Amino acid sequence: MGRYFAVEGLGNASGDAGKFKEAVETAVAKTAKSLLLVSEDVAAMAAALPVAVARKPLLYAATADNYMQMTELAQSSGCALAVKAANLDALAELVDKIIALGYRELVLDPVSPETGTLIARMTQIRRLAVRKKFRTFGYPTIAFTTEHDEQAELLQAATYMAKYTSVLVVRTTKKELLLPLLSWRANLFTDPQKPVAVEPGLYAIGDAGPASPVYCTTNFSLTYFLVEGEVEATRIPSYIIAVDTGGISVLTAYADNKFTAEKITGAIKELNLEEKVRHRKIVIPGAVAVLKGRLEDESGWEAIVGPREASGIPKFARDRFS
Amino acid sequence: MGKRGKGEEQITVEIYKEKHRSQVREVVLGAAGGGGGTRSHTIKVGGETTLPFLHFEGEIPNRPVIAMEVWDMVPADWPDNLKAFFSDVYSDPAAWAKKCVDLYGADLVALRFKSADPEIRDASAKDCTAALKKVLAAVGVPLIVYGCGKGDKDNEIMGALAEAAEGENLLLGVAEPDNYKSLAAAAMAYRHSIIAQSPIDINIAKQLNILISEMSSSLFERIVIDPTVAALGYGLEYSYSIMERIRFGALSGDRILAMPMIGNVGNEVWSKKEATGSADEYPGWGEQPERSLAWEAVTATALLQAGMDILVMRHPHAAALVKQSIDELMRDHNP
Repeated sequence: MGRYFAVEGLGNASGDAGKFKEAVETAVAKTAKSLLLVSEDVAAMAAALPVAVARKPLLYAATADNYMQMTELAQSSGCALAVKAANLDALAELVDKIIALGYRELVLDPVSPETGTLIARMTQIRRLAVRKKFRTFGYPTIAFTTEHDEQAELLQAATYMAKYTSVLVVRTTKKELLLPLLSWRANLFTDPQKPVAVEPGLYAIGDAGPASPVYCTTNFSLTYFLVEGEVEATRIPSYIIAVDTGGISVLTAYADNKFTAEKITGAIKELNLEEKVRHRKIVIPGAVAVLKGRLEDESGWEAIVGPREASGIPKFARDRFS
Repeated sequence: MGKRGKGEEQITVEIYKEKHRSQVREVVLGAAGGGGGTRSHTIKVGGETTLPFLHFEGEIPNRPVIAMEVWDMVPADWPDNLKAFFSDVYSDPAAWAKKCVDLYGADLVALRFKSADPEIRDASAKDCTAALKKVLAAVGVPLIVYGCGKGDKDNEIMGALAEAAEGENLLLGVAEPDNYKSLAAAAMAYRHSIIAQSPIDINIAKQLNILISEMSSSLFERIVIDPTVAALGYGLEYSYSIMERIRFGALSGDRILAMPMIGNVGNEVWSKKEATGSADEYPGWGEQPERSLAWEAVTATALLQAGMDILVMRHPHAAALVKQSIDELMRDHNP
C-alpha cells in the first residue's frame, strides 16, 4: 500500500519520550516500510531516532520553536526534515533559516485544517517554485488529513493528491478506502499522452483449458483491462490474446495497419494456440468485423464477431459459450 | 516571489496569480414562473474566472452541483447496496425523484428514459412524456433529461419530451457530432438547454459546439459540455487532462470552449467491478458497499478538481459526501 508508515508521538508532556521510542521500536519490528517520525518534542525525537536511523526516517517536524535542534538531529543523521509553519510567510522564513544552518533535505508542510486553504497553499508553493524559481519553496510537500470521518478523510486526501501533495498522511486503514485512493494516484501519475501497454501475449482468465473460448484484442492497456474485466465477469474460463499493436486501441490500430488478419494469425502461431485449445475459434472485436474473412483465410480458424463494446461480452458469452 | 521585508527576519511571500483573460459562460438550468416554466427555482452553473476553487485569484460565482439519476424503469443490474436506497420507489420515477430531492438533497434530477431502448422495453414517446410530466409535477428542481442512448429511438422521443415540457428549460442530452440536429432543433423550438457530448477529445468538443452554434446562436449560449468521463481506474486521467485543457481554453478566451461541464459519474462507475464485485470475489479490496460508494465519490472528487460543474451521481451517500466536500471547497479560502 503506502510507502511510509507514520509513528505519531503523543505530544510534549514529560515522560512521552520513552513511549515514543517504544512505539518506534514496535514499528521497526513490524514493518519494513519507510518511517515518518511525528513529534515536535526534540527530546522524544532524539531518543527515538537511533532506533530507526538505519531506515532514514522522515523527521516531522521542524517548527519555529525547535528548528535549531531538529535541524541538528536531521543533519547529524542524514534524515530528511519536514518543515511546518502556520502560513506561507512563516514557512518561507523558517525554510530560509534552516537553509542558513546548512541543511537542504526538506519537505514542506503548509499546514491548514481546511482543505481549501491547504490546496491554495500547495498551489502557491508549486507555482512559486516552478514559475518564479522561488527556491525557498522548491521542495516536496507533506500533508496530513484533518477530517475525522473516514469517508470525508478519503475525499480530502484525494483532493490533496490532485493538488500537489508529495507525501500524504492518512489515518484510515480500510482497504475499501485505500484502494480508490491508490487507484487515483496511479491514474494521476499516468501520462495520458503515452499509450499504456500490457505485455503482448496470451492471458488465461480463470482456469482456462483446451475447451475455453479465445478472445483477441490489442495490447492497449485500457482496452485490454476493459476486455479482461468483462471476460472475468462471464465466469467462463477463457483465453485473451493481447496482440502487439504498440499499445494502441482497436480502431486506431486497425486504421494504422497494426491490428490485421496477418498480425492475429501470427499471434495464434507464436503463442502455440493450436496446442492449447482443441477448437479453432477466435472471437474478434465487433468494431473490426471486417477482418473476419481474411482472418479465416489466413489462419484457418473460424472468426466469431464479438460485441462492439467490451460491456457486451457477458451477454455475448452467455448466448454463445454457456 | 519571496521578498525580504523591512524587518530583518520578516518575509512576505508574494502570492502568484494567473491572469486569466476570460471566463466560463454562465448557464441557467430550469425556468421558474417568471421564465415560462414551473420550477420552484433555477440553478446557475459556470461563470468561473479561474481554475477550480482558487478563490484567491478569481471569481467562482456558482458552486458545482449534484444531479441524482432517476430511471423510468427498475435498473436490473445495480448492485444491492445501491438499489436498497430506492427499492420503495423503483416503479415510480416521480416518487424516486422526490426522494432524491427531499431526502437526499439532490440539486437536480437527471431523468434517464432507459425503458425507451428498443432492446429493453421500447417504451413509446407517449409513455415517456407521461412519466416526464409526473416528475415535473413531483419536484421543483430543474431537470436533466437523457434518452435511452440509442440514437434513432432518442430522436423519436426527445422531440416529444421537449415539447411536453415547453419552456421548462430542461437540460437535454445528449447531442453528439453525428447526431445533434434533431435534439438541437427540439431544444431551440421548446426553449431548453443542451448537453454536447464529445468522446474525450477537445477538437470534437469544439467542432460540435460550432455545429450547434451554426443552427442557433442563442442555443450556443445554453450548451453544457459533456467531455465524457471515465471511472477511477479506467482512464480517469484522460478525462481529467481533457477537462483541464477545455477549461484553460475557456479562461484564455476561446469562447467555443467556454461552457460549463457535466459528467455522468454514476453511469461510468457502477458498471465497474471495483464498484460491484463482492469481497468474496476480490478479497484484497475490502467490503463492496463502502468501496463502491468510495469509488463514485473519489471519481467525482477528482473531476471537481478538473473543473466539473454538474456531477450526475447515483449513490445517496456518495452524493452527500461530495456535497459536503464542495461546501468546504467553496468557502473563500486564501493561501
